Amino acid sequence: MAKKPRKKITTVREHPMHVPVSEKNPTGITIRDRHLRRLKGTNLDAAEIKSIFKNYDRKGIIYPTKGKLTKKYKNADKYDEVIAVWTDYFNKKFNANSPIDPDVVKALISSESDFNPDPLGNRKIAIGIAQITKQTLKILQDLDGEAKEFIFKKVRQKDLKDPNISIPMAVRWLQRKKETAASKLKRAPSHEEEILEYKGLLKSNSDYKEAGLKKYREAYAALKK
Amino acid sequence: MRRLKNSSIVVSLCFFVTGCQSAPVFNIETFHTEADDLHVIRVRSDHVRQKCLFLNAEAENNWRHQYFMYVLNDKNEALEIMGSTSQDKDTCEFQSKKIDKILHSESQVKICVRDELKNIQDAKEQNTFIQFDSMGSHKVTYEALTFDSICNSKKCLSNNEPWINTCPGFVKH
Repeated sequence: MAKKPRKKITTVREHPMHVPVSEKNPTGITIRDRHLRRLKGTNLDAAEIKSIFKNYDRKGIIYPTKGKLTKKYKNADKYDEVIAVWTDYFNKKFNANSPIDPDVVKALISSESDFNPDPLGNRKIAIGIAQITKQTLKILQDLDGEAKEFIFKKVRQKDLKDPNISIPMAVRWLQRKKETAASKLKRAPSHEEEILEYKGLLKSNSDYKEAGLKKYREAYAALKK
Repeated sequence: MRRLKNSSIVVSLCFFVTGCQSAPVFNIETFHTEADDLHVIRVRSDHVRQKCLFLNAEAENNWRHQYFMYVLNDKNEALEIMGSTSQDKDTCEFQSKKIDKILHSESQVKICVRDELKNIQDAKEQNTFIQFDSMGSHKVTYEALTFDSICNSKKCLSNNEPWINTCPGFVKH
């Protein structure tokens, strides 16, 4: 008799949970609300990130445009494969109706760091090739945070200097920013609006959105020429 | 004695010639490369202004500042030159102070900037004016160029590490 396939359980029902005894919880037991189950592959550490990249099926994945920025930037095409793999990975993971274009990721990286894996200037607040902040790193590893649908674990600030780690995190964050932009605009955002949201400029009172977008726009135009 | 007299004439003549020769107020030389345009601007130090602009971004992005430099040209137009990427406040102000030292120690500087020099088309952006103290307020008429390096005769500051090339006469880091 054929084995009946098991239904994939993605949520956990409300359940009691042991917590440290405190004034608020003198019994040491609390009720945990219904929550998403942590499925394997939705909670990546640095080793898993590297393993997924190494073993990823590259058949049919879309690469960012090559050779358009190499005359200007030293590292322009160096991270194309990392961008291609992780953009494809998250587009599939989130079953995106309008998938993220790898050229958007490449132009974003160009505007954030000029493809420099460890820009000298900003080490105190934003780190690495995609200038991920300490605050963003925290959100991207928070089980109950806004990105809880897919998070990372045990990634340290110094790991962000490695583009093999920071690029997947940036693509995941861009995916999240695409959702928040859609929610703010009440429609699907354009790629420029996604980037403005990544840079915190979409709905801010800033008069300098154009300045914030200038470098991205130039790099994206060059890639699509 | 005669020899001494002659040499003093030569010295005073040299002094007179160099003394009368004032540094050019503004000069721009453009180099077209495969990747982009590079420009070497030679300008009097008092024709340069700087600012660290807070971009007023939301939430985890409220660190973003953008370095801007403004150069007054010989047509009384302000050229806008921006840093390539966002910086935090401390980094931006630190850079600005270092450039201030370069500007204040000599009357003439040379600046390397990148990108095509294009007139501003967007109507909104056409109304930016920059105050150059006693020289008055002047309109920004070109799209922002990208900062690469600034030098006086002794010191340089460069932000050109990620690029393939730099302007002739400047050092690529």
